[in-house]
Amino acid sequence: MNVVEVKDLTYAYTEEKIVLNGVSFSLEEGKYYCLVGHNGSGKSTLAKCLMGLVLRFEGSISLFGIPLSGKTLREIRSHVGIVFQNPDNQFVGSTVADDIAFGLENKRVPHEQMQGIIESFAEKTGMIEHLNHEPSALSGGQKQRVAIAGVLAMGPDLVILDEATSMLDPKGKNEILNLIHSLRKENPKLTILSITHDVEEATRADEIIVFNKGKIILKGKPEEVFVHREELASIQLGLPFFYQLRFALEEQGMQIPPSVKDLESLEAYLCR
Amino acid sequence: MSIRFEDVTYVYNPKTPEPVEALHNISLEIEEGSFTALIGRTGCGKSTLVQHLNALLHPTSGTVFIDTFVNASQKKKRDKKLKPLREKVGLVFQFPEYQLFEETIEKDVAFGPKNFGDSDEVALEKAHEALQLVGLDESFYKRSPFEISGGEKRRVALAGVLAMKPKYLVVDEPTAGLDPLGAKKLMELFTKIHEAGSTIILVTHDMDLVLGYCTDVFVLDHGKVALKGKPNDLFGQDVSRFSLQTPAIFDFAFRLEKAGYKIDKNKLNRVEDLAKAIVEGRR
Repeated sequence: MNVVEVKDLTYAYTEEKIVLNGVSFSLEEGKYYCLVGHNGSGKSTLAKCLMGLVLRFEGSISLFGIPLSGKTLREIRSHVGIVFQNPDNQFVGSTVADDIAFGLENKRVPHEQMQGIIESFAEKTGMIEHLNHEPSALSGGQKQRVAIAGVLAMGPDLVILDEATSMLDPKGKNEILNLIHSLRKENPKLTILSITHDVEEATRADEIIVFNKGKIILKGKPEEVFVHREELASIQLGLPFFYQLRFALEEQGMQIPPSVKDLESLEAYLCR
Repeated sequence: MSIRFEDVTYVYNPKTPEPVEALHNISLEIEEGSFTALIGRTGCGKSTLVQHLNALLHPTSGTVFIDTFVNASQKKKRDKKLKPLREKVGLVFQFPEYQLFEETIEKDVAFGPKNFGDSDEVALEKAHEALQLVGLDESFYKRSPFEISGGEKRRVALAGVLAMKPKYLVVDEPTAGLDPLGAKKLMELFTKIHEAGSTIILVTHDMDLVLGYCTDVFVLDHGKVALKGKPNDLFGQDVSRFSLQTPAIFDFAFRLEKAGYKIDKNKLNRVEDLAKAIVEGRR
């Protein structure tokens, strides 16, 4: 079953300003998707539609086989967790434990169970030693890990990361990406949709969806997408370091076989 | 003329039970005409240092000289007239797009020049010039700064500082959150401003930018200057002890060197340089 099914999605803020223009795609269970596009490409609006924050769209969206509408929103949201961009704007608790508890309290999880759930997800996200810390004592990366812990504690089947790493420094960014990968190993059914313009992150995705002017222009595995060099450059997206280097080497006259897909295999090829 | 720190110490919450020393006896000189990077882990004192450059903060002890302007502690004699300094040093904070406030983009950008005494017409002229410089054409002038994309907002905010034609432009993490080409264009814009004679001071976590664009670099660690020099010299050594990443180009060059490649790291600034070095290093 497809976790997300979007058909002919169109949305306009005003009559002239069409931000989504007939978008169709589906997401399969257990895969890690990166939705990439430049600032202003419409990817954030798409995210808002998927989260049900914007309901007056044309076309259809279904999640877990349930068509998205005002009536089904509650049911659908119980399956979906979202991590937003700004680490400071989504920290609602006074301590790490309080923050993770927020969703659980809303869900009326009995207090006796709650403690165990909080600890287990704080453990998974590496925040167990900070349970009683206030947000001011945490780095941006740590705050985002708490946000992820709070989302996971609700037991979602789909996690949407809306530029969740873009305000973090490189260290914080890596913390989050490594966390995502360890969570996927633990729960192979978890589907992840990461909205990002970090092309390095996208090299680790199962599939990349490239967005421009409210439309999907490329879709496929990283090695299928990043060979479209001119197209990506024309829409403001650069290439990951490996592909930049690969093209630069080819311009120097070096032949690189298609089996070389990342820096590790390039190193092995060059040092053979 | 230059920016000079002499034994500068800065303490947050002095005379309280928990004073925090953010800068400790810093002495450094940022040369006029340079493109200088300030780097170091979160909390190393970069932002505190930068706020001394246009006297948002005054040293607890020691002196900062910005050309002839003297920024020192209250006890010492320091210059009181801040306007000329603020005109000379343009400070662009992190995520400056959150500071936009005017009805239209041109008014927002013209705010600075007007504050420094320009007439409405002159201020608008300067605003238009600055907007052109950051790549926003006439169609943007009358629009609201709140209905454009995040990357465009960032450029409007930057134009607001550029409109004052600062001699020293200080930018704190200017590319954070921008798409890759947006970031590249912004860095090229700084290069253009640098070539036109301004001094650029860049605070960043992105070591690839330091390697690709800067002429000088200072590494701060625990409120002190830990290292200074040229980017290519700096990254030739192990920088992980300062929680700094090695730029992707150097990282890959090191890996190849271990396998016997000979790579001249003095000329390694762009991906193309690395590709050339690899092809030559094979022979």
